[in-house]
Amino acid sequence: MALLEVDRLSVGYRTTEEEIRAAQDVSLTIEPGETLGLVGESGCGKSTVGRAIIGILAKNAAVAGGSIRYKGRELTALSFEAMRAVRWKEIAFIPQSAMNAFNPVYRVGRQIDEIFTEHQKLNAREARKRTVELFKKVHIPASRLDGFPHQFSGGMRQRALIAMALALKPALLIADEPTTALDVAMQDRIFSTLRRLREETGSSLLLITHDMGLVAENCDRVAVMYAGRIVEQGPTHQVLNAPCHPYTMGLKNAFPSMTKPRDETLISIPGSPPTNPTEMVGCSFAPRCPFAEPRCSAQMPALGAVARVHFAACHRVDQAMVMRRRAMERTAWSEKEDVLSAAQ
Amino acid sequence: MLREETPSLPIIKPLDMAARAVGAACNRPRVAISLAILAAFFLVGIFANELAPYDAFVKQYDANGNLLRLLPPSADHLLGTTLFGRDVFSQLILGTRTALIVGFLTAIATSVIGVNIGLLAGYFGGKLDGALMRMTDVVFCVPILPFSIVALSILNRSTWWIITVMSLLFWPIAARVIRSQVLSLKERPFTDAARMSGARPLRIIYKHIAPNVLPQAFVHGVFAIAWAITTEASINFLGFGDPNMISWGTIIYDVFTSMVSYTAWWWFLPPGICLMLVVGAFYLVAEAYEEVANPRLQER
Amino acid sequence: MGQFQAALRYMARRAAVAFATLFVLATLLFILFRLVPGDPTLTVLSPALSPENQAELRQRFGLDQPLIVQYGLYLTNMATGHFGISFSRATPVVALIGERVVNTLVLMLPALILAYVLGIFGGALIAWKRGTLLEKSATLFAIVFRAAPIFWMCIVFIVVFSHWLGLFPEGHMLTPGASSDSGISQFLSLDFLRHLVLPLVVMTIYYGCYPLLVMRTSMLEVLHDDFIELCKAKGLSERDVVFRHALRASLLPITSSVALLAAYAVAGSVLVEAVFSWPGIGLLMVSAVLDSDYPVAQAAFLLIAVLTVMGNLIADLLYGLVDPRIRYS
Repeated sequence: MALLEVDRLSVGYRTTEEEIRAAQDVSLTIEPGETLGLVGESGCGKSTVGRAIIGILAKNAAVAGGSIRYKGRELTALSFEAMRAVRWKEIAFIPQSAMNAFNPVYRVGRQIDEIFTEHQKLNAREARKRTVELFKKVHIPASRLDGFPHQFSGGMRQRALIAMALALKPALLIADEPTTALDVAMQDRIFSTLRRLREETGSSLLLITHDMGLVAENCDRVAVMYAGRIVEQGPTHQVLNAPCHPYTMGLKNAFPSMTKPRDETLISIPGSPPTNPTEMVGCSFAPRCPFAEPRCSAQMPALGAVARVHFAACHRVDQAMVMRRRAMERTAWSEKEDVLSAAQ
Repeated sequence: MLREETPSLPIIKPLDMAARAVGAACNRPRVAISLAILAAFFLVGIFANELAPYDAFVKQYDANGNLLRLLPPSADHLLGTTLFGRDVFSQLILGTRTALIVGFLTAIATSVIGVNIGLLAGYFGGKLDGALMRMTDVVFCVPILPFSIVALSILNRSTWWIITVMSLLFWPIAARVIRSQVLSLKERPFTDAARMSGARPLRIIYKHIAPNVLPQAFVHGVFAIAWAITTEASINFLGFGDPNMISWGTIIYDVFTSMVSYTAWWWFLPPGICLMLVVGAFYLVAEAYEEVANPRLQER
Repeated sequence: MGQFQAALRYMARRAAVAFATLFVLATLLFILFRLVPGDPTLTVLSPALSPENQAELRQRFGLDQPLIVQYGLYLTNMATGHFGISFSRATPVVALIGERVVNTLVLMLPALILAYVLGIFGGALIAWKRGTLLEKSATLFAIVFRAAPIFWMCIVFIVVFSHWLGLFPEGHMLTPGASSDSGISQFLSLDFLRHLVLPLVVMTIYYGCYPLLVMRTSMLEVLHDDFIELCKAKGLSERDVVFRHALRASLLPITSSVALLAAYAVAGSVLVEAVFSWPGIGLLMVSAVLDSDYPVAQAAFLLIAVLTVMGNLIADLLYGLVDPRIRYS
C-alpha cells in the first residue's frame, strides 16, 4: 500500500462571483521514502494540492471531489480538529515563504518548542532540550534560539523550518517552493540539509516547485501539472529525457542547460495559462500547443500509459518522438506565438 | 535637468482621489449610509431657520395663556416641549447648525495649524523640528475637556472661544502624522531633484510636498470635526456653553439639570441620537477615506 | 547593553516632556487667573475666609510682592503641596483632593482594564467568527456606541436601569449614612459595588469600542498572513492559532492607539462623574469652577493634568514593549 494515494482530487475556490477549480481530477501516489516532484507554472494548482493534503486550505476553498488516503485513512472526511493528529506528526509542511513563516512577535525557539509541547506533551524544559538538538543538526547555534524571526537570515530561517518540519519524524513532508527566495548556493545547501535529515527520518517528500532543475536533482518521480490537471507523470529521468506531453517538452526548453551552446536564448512557451480552465472544453493546453489538432480542442485527453509507469494526457502521445524533436526547434514555438498574437 | 520645473512625485491628483473615494463609497454600504446621513443633516443645518416650526428660544403658550410645559410629542410639537415650554424639535434643528459650524471651523483651524507645523518640522528637521516637536508633545498632554472648562470660565463663554480653545488643543495629532509622512517623502529622489534645481525650500514644501500630504490632512480634518462636535457637546453639557446658542449639548444639559429625564424621553433622547448619528457618520467616512488615502497604497 | 539603556534614555526624555507640560500648564494657569477681571488676589483668597486664614495666605503666596516673586512662590508652594484654602469649604485644598483622586481611580482603572481586556479578546473573537451574526452585531454595536456621547449614555442607563427597572442607585458612590466604613473597607462593601455597576459598565463600553474595532481590523489582516498557515499546519487547534498566535501579532495598532487614550479617558471620567455625582476629582474640578472656588479648581485641574501626563507616559512605554520589531529596529 502506498503511503499517500490521491485519487481524482478536485479542489474549488469560491470567489464572490464564481467558483474556480484550482485542481481537477488530480491523481498521484507517493511510496514510503521516495520523492515526488509536483511541477508546473504559478497558478497551476500545485500549491493547492499540497494544502489540500495537509488540510490547510483557505476558508473559501474546499475539496470538491475525489479522495486523499494516507496509510489507508481517508483524510478528506476528517474535520479540522480531527486532522490535528495527522498534522506535523505524520504529514509536515514547509511553506513557500520562509520570510514570513514564523510568527514575528514570538522568539524562534519558543515556536519550535511548541511542536514538542503540543504533540509530545513535553514540558518547557524538555521541549527546549529537543529544540537545541534540532538546531545542532542544521548547524544553527543554540544562542540564536532567543532571537526573533526578523533577526535570522533567509537561509537560516529555512533551515530552522526544515529542522522543525522533520522534528517529529513525519512519514511525509510536503515542501512548497522551499527555496524560491534563496540564491542558488543557498538552495544547494538547503537541499543537502533536507536530504541528510530525510535519511535519518526516512520521510517521503512531495516537492512542489516550478523549477525543473530542482526536480531533476532531487526527485525520484515527477508529476507535471497544467491548469489544475496532471498532464504527465512518471520516473524523473524518463519524463525529462523522453517527455510525452508538449507542455513538458516546452518546460524543458525553458530551463537553461549547462550543455547547450551559451549564445542560445531560451525558448519559452507562448501565451499564458487559462484563467478559468473549468470552462474549457478539450485539452487546456491546446491553445498554446504547437501540435494541437482539432480533436484536441474538442475532447479532454485522458491520462494514458506511454510506458509501464509513465503516463501522459495527450491525444498524440503515439507521435511523442516526432513531437519531441520538433519541440526542440525554436520555430515550432515562435510559429505558435505568431498565431496567438494574430488572433488577438 | 537644472530647470525650474522639476519632476514631481506621482502627485495624487484630486480627481483621482475623488474618483477613488466615490468608488469606495459605493462599495461599502456603511459609508454610503453615512454620507446620506451627513447630507441630510447638512441640509437641515443650512435651512435651519426655514425648517424650524417655532423660535427655539421662545416659550410656547396655549390659547388660554398657559405655558405648554413638558408636552409629549404631538402634531403641533413633533418632539414635544421642554420644562420651560420651548419646542424641542426647533431646538434640535438649530442645534444641527451649531454642531456643524463648530465642527467645521474647528477642523479647518486645527488642520491649518497642524499640517503646517507638520510640514515645517518634517522638512527642515534639526533644531526647528526639535522645538516644534517638544511644543507638540506638551500641547498633546494637555487634558482637553478640563482645560477648556477652566479656560472658558476665565475668558468668556462664547462659541468663538470654544472653537478657539479646541483648535489650539487638537492640532498635535495632525502635526505628528503629517510630519512622519513628510519625513518619508523627503527621502524620495524628486525632492533632491527639486533642491538641486535651486527651488527654494518653501516652494518645495508647498508646491511639491504639500499636495501629497493633503489626503492624510483631509482624513484628520474629518476626524477633527467628529472630535470637535463631541467635545463641544461635552463642554455644553457641563454648563459651560454659550447661553446665546442652542446646541445639542445644551439641550441635554437643560434636561439633566431639570431632573426630569426619566419622564421627558422626547427631550433628552433626540439630541443624543443626533449626536450619535452625526459623529458616527463622520467617523465612518473618515475611516473609509483613510483606507483610500493610505500612503502605502499610493506607492504601488 | 543597547536595549535597556536606550529604553531608559527614552523614558527620561518622555518624563522630561511630562514635567515640562505640567510646568507650562501651571504657568498658564497663573497667567490666566491673573486675567480674571477684578482684583487678582481674589483668586487666592476670599473675603469669606477668616482673617487668620487670609493673613496666612497673603504671606504664603506673597500677595503684596511683585508678580515675579508671586510666581516663584506659587511654584514652590505647588511642589510642596500647598494649594491654598478652599473658598467654599475653608479647609486646605490639599486635604480635599487626595480622597477624590482615589475615588476617580477606583472607577477609571477597572473600567480601562476591563475595556481593553474585553476589547482585545472580543475583537479577536469576532474577527475569527467573521460573517456570523455575532460579528456583525458586535461590530455594529461598537460603531454606534463609540459615537454616542458618554454623558448621554449615562443618562440613558440611569433612566433604564435605575428609574424604570430600579436595579441600581441613580448616583453617588455610597449611600449616605449607610455604613461607617472609611478608607479601603468602604470600597469593599456591597453598597459601593451597587453604586459602581452603572458607571463602570458605561465607561467600559465607552472605552472598549475602539480597541474592539481596532483589534478586529488588525486581526482580519493578520489572519491572512503566511505564518498563520504554518501554525495550522503545525497541528495547533483553531483556538490556539487565533488566540495564541494571531492575537499577539495583531496588538501593535492597539498600543499605538493607547497614546490618545489618556486624554479620552480623562474626559470620559469627568463626564461620568458629573452625571452620576461620583465624588471624584473631575466632579470636584467642575463644581469648583462653577462656584468660582479658584484654589480648588486650580489644584484639581493640575491633578487631572498629572493623571493625563502619567497616562501618556505609560502608553509610550507600552508601545515599545509589545512589538519586538519596533524595539529592535
